[in-house]
Amino acid sequence: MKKLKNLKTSRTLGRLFDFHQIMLNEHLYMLYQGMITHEIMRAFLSVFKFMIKSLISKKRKALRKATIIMIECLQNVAMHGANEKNKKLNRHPSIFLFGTSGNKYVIETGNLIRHGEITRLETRLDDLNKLDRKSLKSLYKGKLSKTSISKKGGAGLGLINVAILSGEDLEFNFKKINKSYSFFSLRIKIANN
Amino acid sequence: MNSMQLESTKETPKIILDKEKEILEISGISVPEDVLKFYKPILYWLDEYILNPNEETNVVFKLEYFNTASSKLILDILFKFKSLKDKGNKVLIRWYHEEDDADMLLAAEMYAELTDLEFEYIITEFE
Repeated sequence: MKKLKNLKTSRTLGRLFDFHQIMLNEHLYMLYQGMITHEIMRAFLSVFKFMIKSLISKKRKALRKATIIMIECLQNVAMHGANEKNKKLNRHPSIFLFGTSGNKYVIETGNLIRHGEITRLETRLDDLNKLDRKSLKSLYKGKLSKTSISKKGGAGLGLINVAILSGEDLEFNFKKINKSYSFFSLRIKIANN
Repeated sequence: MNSMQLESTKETPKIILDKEKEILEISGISVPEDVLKFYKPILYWLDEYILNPNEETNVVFKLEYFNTASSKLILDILFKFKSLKDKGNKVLIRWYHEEDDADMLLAAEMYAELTDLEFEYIITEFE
C-alpha cells in the first residue's frame, strides 16, 4: 500500500519536473493562472523589482520597460477582464506569462471578454499597430491632456503606452469559449538589447 | 499653511509638501488602484499654495515607476504649477531619472512641452 502511494507521489512530482523542464525549454520565468487583481499586480511588481536588482545595467533597461508593460497589462485585466468581474466564470481564470523569446522579453496575458467588446478592442489594437513610434507618441501626448480618469480608474492610455514601450506590433487573438465569452490573448515583446 | 507629508507605500509615492521649508517633492512608485483618491488631497493642497506661494517654487519629481492613470494626475499637478508660472512666479521642475532611462526622459519632455514649464533633468539611481 505504501509502495503504491510512493508511486503515485513520484508520478505527481514527475509532472512538476516536466513543468520545470517545459519552463526552462520555453524560457519562461513566470506563469500565473488565477484572478488578476491590483494586489496580484503589486506582488508581481515586487518580483520584477527583485529581478531588476540582480541584472547588469544594460539588461536592466529592458526589464524596466517590461515592468511598466506588466503593470499596464495587469491593471487592464484587473479593470476590464470578465473573469475578474464575474466569479461564475472561474472555470476560465485569467493567465499571465513572462519569459523571453530570442533576444526579447515577452509578456502575455489572457482573460475572458464578452463577444460584444471584441470589435472595439480589435479595432483599437489594429489602429495602434498601424502607427509608428512618432505617431504613437503624439497620440499619447494629445490624449494625455484631454483624458479624464474613468470610473474604473483608468486613463485610456495604457495600451498606447504599451505600444510605445514595446516598439513592436501587439499580437492578439480571440478564441470563442461559449455563447457569451471569448478568451482574449495579448502578447507584447520588448527588445532585450 | 500646513505641510503635507505622506510616507511611500508599495503603490504610492512619498509626498512632501512643505511651504515653510520650501520642499515640494514626489518620489517613489505611483501605481495606485484609485489614483483620484490618492492625488486629490495633493491637488487641493496645491490650490491653496498657489493662492499664496513662495517667491520661487522648486518641485522635485523622483519617480521610479508610474502607471498611465498616474501620468494623467502628474500632468494635473504640473498644470497647477503652470498657472503659477503664468501669474509671473518662478517655477522650476527638477526631474530625476536613471541614466539611459529614455522612457522616463521622454515622459518628462512630454510634460515640459504640454505645460511649457522649465525642467531640469538630473541623473539618479533608484534603489
